[in-house]
Amino acid sequence: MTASRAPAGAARLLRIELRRTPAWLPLPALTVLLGLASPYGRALRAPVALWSARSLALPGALQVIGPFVAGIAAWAASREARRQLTDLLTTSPRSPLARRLATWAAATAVGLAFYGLAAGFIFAATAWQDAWGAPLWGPVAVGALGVVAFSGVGFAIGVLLPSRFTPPLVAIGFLFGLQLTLAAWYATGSRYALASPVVDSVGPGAVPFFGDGTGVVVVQLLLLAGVVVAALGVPGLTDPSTTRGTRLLATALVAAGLCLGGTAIGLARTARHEPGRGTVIPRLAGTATVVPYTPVCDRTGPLPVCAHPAYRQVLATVSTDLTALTGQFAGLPGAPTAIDVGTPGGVPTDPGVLRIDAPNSQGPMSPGLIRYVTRETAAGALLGIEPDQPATATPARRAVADGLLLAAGETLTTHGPLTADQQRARAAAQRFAALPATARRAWLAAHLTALRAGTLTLEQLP
Amino acid sequence: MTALVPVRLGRLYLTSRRVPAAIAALAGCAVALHLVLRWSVTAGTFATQLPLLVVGAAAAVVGATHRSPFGEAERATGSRLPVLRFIASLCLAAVAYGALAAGAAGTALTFGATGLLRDLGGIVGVTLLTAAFASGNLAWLGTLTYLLLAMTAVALGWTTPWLWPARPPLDAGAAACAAATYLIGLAAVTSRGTRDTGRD
Repeated sequence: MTASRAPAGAARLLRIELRRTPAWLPLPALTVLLGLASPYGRALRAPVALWSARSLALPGALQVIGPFVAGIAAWAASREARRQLTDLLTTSPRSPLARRLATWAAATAVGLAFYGLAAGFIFAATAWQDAWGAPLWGPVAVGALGVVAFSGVGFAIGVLLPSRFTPPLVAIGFLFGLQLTLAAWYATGSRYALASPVVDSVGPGAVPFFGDGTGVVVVQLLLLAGVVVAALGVPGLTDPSTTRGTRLLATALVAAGLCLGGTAIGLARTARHEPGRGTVIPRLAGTATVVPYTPVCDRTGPLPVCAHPAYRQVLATVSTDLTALTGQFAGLPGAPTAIDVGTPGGVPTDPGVLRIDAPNSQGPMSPGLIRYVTRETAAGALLGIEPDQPATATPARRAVADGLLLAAGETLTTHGPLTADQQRARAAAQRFAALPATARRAWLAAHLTALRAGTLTLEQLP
Repeated sequence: MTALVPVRLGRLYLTSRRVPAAIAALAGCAVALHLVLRWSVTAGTFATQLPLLVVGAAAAVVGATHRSPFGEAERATGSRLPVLRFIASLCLAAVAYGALAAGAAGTALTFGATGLLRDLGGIVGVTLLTAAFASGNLAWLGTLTYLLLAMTAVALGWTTPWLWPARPPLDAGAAACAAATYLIGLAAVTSRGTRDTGRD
């Protein structure tokens, strides 16, 4: 075969492989799973459309796409051994490595095409929703490289262990591995888990304020690049008919891949937490400077409610939801003068402003849940209750916060039976809510400062 | 001589289905389950999801043994093939349960022995149904699809009994759904065998 005919031959081989690859078979199931059982579908149904959250949903979709791609690649890799064609194909003129790479490329191409379509759909939906900002291409690249890496490792294992048990164990093993890294990050806080492509490389709510330069995405790309390079070398190492030169190249590829992966793990180990910005890799992250912005405000309620322009879609909803609560304390001595939605810690705001979280950008919330959570966090923040510091939720603060919620028309939720102390606080909350609005406001005017300082006890409540 | 024929037939059937390798893989799953329960998180949704994936792997291994390497030639040889399929499938599922129960011994499996039986049986049923009606080679696609849905159900608190791993171990509706799935899957794979599409 001449040099000019070689690319045409490779393209033809790839075309044939694309026709016969089993990678097309799981696409209908994958489409359903992407919508129902992955961060992709949850982000699409979230009440806040943020480009950052939608971009992060794509590597998150690897939880679904990755195991399928790896299993299919393992199955495709074992085809020659399964059909008992290894000896026959050894006599064909084409290099076994080129033949195997074509099989792998076809399985990967289908996975990548599916990923590309998914990316196109979620970005089109986000643009249609007129979200603030622009896509983050780093996480998108992590997802794409993740598809290639999963397929590469699956293929390499399929070449090494051609068995009917290999594809299911590879696929479920990958799913297990991804869940293990998620557990390591979210349950135990292990920094090594940051290198996993399914762990968020940046907090979606922090991106409008600090940008996406945390460096975590570089670590994830390095690890995946290492995995791809090493996996590409494995078929060359295992095939007995490869030449010495090819074997050396394959060895170098595996070594280079391991070096890249090791570098990524080493960098992940240096991660540290910065207030507001989240987890960063100091050697790769830029400086923590707040991107200047002009807040947008809704002044229809008792207190102005302001937010970054990224949250303008939900500003009116949040402001309306807060009216019944803020009306109870607006204008009192020591009370906040405005509500700020979604601004993370580390971003300065005026001292009199009450900060609350924005509605979820990574998962669905019903209007009723948005209203309850918004009111509950606002009532808690008003009285100095920190959600991550249970000691700040003193019985008196909890009772007044619950009383404000009850007076705003909410029904209190409980998780399991209440303890004796909780029952006393709940009874105090009901007494407080049952007071006439003017009496409640007068009591708050006299005691709000002491309540916020945490010096009031349950017995001092009306 | 005649008495030895069923034994030989059974041995050949099990060998052709790679049952010895499957038993080795199930032993590996038991070890994996033990390690997961001993060393990974013990609370929250991950404490249910991670062991569930090991159970799913065991179910996929059971399902993978059903594919025939002979196809139509084997189906034309006699009437005893469904009996062999039935006995082998039932026994291998029992071996899988025994192996996983042994792996979970002495640890705190969140769904317990009853939940393990329900989850394993149901997921084996899903795998057998996929093998019988979609593809014998790629029956694990059904297992993986079900596992992803079940894990989401565990995480988000979905309550449908058809996603039984998300229900409490003694939930009657979930147990009925899992048992029905297993029995239908076993009946399908016994009567029809696995589907050979040729494409895969």
